[in-house]
This record gives sequence, structure tokens and C-alpha cells, in this order.
Amino acid sequence: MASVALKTWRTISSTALDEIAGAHAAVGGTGPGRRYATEQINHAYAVLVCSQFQRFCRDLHTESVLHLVSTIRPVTMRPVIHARLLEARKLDRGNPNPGNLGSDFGRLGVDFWVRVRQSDKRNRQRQDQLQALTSWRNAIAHQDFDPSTLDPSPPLNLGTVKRWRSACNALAAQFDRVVGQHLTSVVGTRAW
Amino acid sequence: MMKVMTQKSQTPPLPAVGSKVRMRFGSSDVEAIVLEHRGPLGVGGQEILRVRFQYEDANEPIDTEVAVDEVTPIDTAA
Repeated sequence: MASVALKTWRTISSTALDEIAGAHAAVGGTGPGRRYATEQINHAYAVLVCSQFQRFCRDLHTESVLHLVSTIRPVTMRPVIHARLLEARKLDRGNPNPGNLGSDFGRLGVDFWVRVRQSDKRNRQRQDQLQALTSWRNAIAHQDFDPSTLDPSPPLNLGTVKRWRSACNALAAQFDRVVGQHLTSVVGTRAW
Repeated sequence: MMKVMTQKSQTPPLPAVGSKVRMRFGSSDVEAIVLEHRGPLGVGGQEILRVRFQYEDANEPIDTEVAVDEVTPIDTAA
């Protein structure tokens, strides 16, 4: 079983991202204008990967809080504790960067990135790729491309965005598993 | 004349974004505004709403999420 968040990531989000990938392929020709057009599409693609991944993480957090809170007694305190767990949640306003994810999921009592890295040694590199993606997302949103802070340096190519998407894909499955296992151990019943 | 039985839907209709609802918060009933439909993220696939309300004398409004069957729409048409 998978969380609703992961199912949404693998269906609705995946379709949306495939559409922008298709737009890249549809830009034909070999003239100088094509390179500019594809670079803009790469920027749009990167922002969309980041925003869809943010949605996944936010949805996973909501599902986790709801599962955790559903066991609290007395029942009248559930909405109060629920609100405290969501208060100033980083994922409601900020990027799904590693720091924000660690902060939000840490509220659930899980040492998030330690557990994620323990789950698969490749996750350390994926965590670095997620950081690079969110830095690039900010650069695109603010049109501020400082080569000293961006990895890789501009221009952004399609292969890089595909690698980021692949890293997000893998991380989504890992987050789903790590958080699900944590909830099961705390609550005593499977979350998903 | 034969009575036609209508079957009630198990899931209540979603209150519109921007509409007012009433919900329980601890020992109080509060009025909240629906900010967002979050989807079927609740236990057993319950539809979840993101809502905002002002709680007593708190400085800031509280944003939270709640299952749709835990809120009552407030009829503002009257």
C-alpha cells in the first residue's frame, strides 16, 4: 500500500510533468531561437518538478498528522493538537528543501533525514540533488542566476532537470516508506 | 402516489472555498473560513479542508485542516 500523497505524485503529478517534458520535445528546429526557447522550458520544467514535489510532501505531512491525531484521547483535543502540528508549517509557504522537510516531519517525532539516509545510501546524493533543485527554483522565480550559488552553473539543461525529477521520484517512495514505518511504530496500526 | 426514496450520499458536499463553516475546537465552537480543498487525505479517504479561524483573543488567526464531516456549513443567505 502507498499513501494517497504518493499515489497522487505517481499519477496526477507525473502526468503534469510529462506534459511539460512533451512541450520541450515539441520545440522543433535548429535555429538560434530554439536554444532560448528550450532553456525557458527547462526553467518551467524545473519549477514544476519542485512545485509538484512540494505538493507531495505537504500532502504526505497532512496524511501523517491525521493518522497520528486520530488515536489521541480525549477526542476533543484532537483538533487542538492537530492545529499545533500544522502551525507555521514550512511546506505551506516554503520550498520542499531538505531543511524545511526535516523541520516539518521532525514535529512528528522522526529524525527525518537520518532515517531517510539510513533507508538507502543513495538518498544522501538525492538529498543534495533536492537542495540543488530548490536553489535553482528560487533563482528562476527571482530571475537571479548567481553561478557561485547554483549547482550546476547556468545554463540549465534538460538532462539536469530529468535527473532532479528522477531523484524526487525515488525520494517520494522513500519518504512514504520511512514516514509510514514511523507512524506504524508510534500508533500501532498501519498508516497506509 | 409512490414515494421516491432518495439515498443520502455518504460524503457530505464540500463547502465552497471562501465559505464559512462551524467546527469544534477543544471545548469551543468556532467559525472558520474554508481556504482550500486538500483532497482525500484523511483516515479512510476522508476529504480534508484547510480552514482559518480567529480563536478568542489570540493575536493571529489559526490555520488548520479538518475532515469535511467535522464542519457544518453556515448559511449566510439569510
